[in-house]
Amino acid sequence: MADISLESPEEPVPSIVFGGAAQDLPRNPSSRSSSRSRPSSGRRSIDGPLTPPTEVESTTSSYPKIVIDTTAAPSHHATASTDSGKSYASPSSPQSPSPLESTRSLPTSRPNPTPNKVATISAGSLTPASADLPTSMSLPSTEAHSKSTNKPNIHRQTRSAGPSMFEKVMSKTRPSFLPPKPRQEDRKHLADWQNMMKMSQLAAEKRRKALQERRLQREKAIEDSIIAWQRDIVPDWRVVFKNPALRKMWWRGIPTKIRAQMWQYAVGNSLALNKDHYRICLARAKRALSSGVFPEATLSLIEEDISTTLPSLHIFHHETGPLYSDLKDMLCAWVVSRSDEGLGYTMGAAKIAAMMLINMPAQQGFNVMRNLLERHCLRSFYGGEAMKDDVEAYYRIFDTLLADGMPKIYFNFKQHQISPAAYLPDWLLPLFLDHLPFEACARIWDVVLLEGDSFLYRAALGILAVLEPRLFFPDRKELLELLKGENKAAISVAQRDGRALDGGRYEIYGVDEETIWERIESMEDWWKESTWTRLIQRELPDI
Amino acid sequence: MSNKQYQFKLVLLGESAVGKSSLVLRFVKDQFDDYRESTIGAAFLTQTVTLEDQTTVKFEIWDTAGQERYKSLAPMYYRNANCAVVVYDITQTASLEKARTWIRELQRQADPSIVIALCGNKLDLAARRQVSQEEAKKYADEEGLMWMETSAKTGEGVAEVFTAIAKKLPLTALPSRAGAGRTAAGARAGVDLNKQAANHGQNEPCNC
Repeated sequence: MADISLESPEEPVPSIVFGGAAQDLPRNPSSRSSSRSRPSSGRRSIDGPLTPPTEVESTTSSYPKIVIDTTAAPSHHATASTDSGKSYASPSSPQSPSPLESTRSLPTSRPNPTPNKVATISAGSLTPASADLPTSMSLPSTEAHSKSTNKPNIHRQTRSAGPSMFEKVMSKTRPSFLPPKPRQEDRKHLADWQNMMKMSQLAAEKRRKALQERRLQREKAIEDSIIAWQRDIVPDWRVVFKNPALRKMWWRGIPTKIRAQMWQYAVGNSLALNKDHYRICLARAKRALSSGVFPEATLSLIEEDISTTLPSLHIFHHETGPLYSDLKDMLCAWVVSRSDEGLGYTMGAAKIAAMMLINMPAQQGFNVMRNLLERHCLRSFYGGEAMKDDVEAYYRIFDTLLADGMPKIYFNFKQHQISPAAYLPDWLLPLFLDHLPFEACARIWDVVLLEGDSFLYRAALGILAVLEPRLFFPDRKELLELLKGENKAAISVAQRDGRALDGGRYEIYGVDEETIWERIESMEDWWKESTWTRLIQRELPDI
Repeated sequence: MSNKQYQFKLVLLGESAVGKSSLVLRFVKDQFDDYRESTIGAAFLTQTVTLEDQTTVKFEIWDTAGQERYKSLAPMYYRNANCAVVVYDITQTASLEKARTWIRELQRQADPSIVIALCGNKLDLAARRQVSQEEAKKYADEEGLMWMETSAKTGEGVAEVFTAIAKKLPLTALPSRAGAGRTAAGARAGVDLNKQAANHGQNEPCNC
């Protein structure tokens, strides 16, 4: 017996194949404790007795074997005796009365108990062993016992072969403190589970289809509304401020064909830029580039920003993207245009420029972009050090609105000391393009351009509202990860479902156009434009 | 007109899995891949066709994803597009239906002078044909489209599609508007005004 324990002392966890479990056997607390200690304890002696009988059972049982541990090297099965079940029953585990610690401390070479005793124990010890098996075997204990005693060490290879996929999954699903399941029940549960999974996949598929259907309908309605647009809004877009119905139509999204035009109108031209502005800036940028004056560091920032711009669309890919060079040109020109103000590049600008390029020619897009970033909120976030105080003020405003509208989230964030600085710039600098699905984002842009900064905040609050069920992690780090769109669980679920991971970062949380807009619209209950104005006046009296 | 180079933006449209990317791959690299991954977003390739009169036509091919994932990308595809190839699968009736909606969309959104070719792909699977030649031809004639059938797998008809488009293009589109001559700087200057997206290619000598 001693040699059993000594053969593989370094074996971290012995692999034990349980072929059968006597479900009706009384559980022996002491042996259970020993079996529970198995995963953690490296002592071969503890588990020694259990191994051989169970593995034998497994040979006859058609039911999949459950291997507790897979690291098994064949060596540790080299029990001295193959003639009887008694010989390989080791003393320690069945008898060890103590909980985990004491079991662990048992010397490996513990003296053998009397053979007779072992024989009975070995049968009994099966039960506790299998007790910590997630899926239990349902062979009658007597059968198991008899087999185990008849043919001991037969199945070594299986032990060392490691677990099958099935075992990997199944053996870990049942908590160790629960008794084993009868085989019949186990099968039934497996079938139930498979059935449930199938149903759930079907339901998910149906849900996706319905969502897609609704999206297409919505898009069609928007495209069909172009006649109304051209009749009522295009002649003078300001009519939407007087006519709530038209304003509502704008909120539903601008038809793609006139989006560029509407954006340009709505953003205005506070900078009084003319048509040549882009050409002039670009020419200056090109000169700077060719003469090597253009800062290398800025250039690499631009490249980095472009590489994370709508990667799923491949449009701006640095080798194959058709609009890559346009985007880069535009950003270089943008840097030049801001250089007079002493501002360099700000990460996020590539996203703004990209959205412009998708919707309009560079020359037009450039002016719209410059005017858009001139609006106070974005200007502050893009303004570098000099605008730090204003950015702080914007954080305070956001906190106030959050406390008003979603106090639970606010309180939880406060407890974890998460200020808007941890997430708001990530959302606002790229105007949500990094985090939201592209279509949802385009529609948010439509309204941002119409309504101005206050809608930036509504959209941001809307995002938090959608994320709310996920926002109560007890752990700050996890919470921050989630806000960055890097929640591991959600990512692995998305991977399992075969969803792409390079879209909007919050797509892994199931954030889609419908949900986000539902939340934004349901904010009507408490969102008051006057509150926004009041807050701005309080925090930023100078603007 | 001889010895001139024109540059055109060509968009490929059609339902997913009708073989848009395969068609381009055959045209540009003369390759075929049985198990092609579906296109995400857009792929971008260029290929030059030389006509009999030594006119060269360079196609900037925008290969779009068939899934209607992003309606908002439409302006990018259609902006300054000189020609469009709308592909359907001759073994799938539904794909022709889809092609019709694409064509309607093109007619509504794109430049009115755009040259549209309707292209029935997978001619190698003619045994499983569901869309008859007559039906497609009739539709194409009604809408004033070019029409042909191709097989990206065997290569049948592929080059012909693009050549036919190239032949038709300079005639329907004024060179000053659509063509970007590599050598003639004057011609290109005219293009710059209308074709921002298209002419920042590597063949552009200088901008100043």
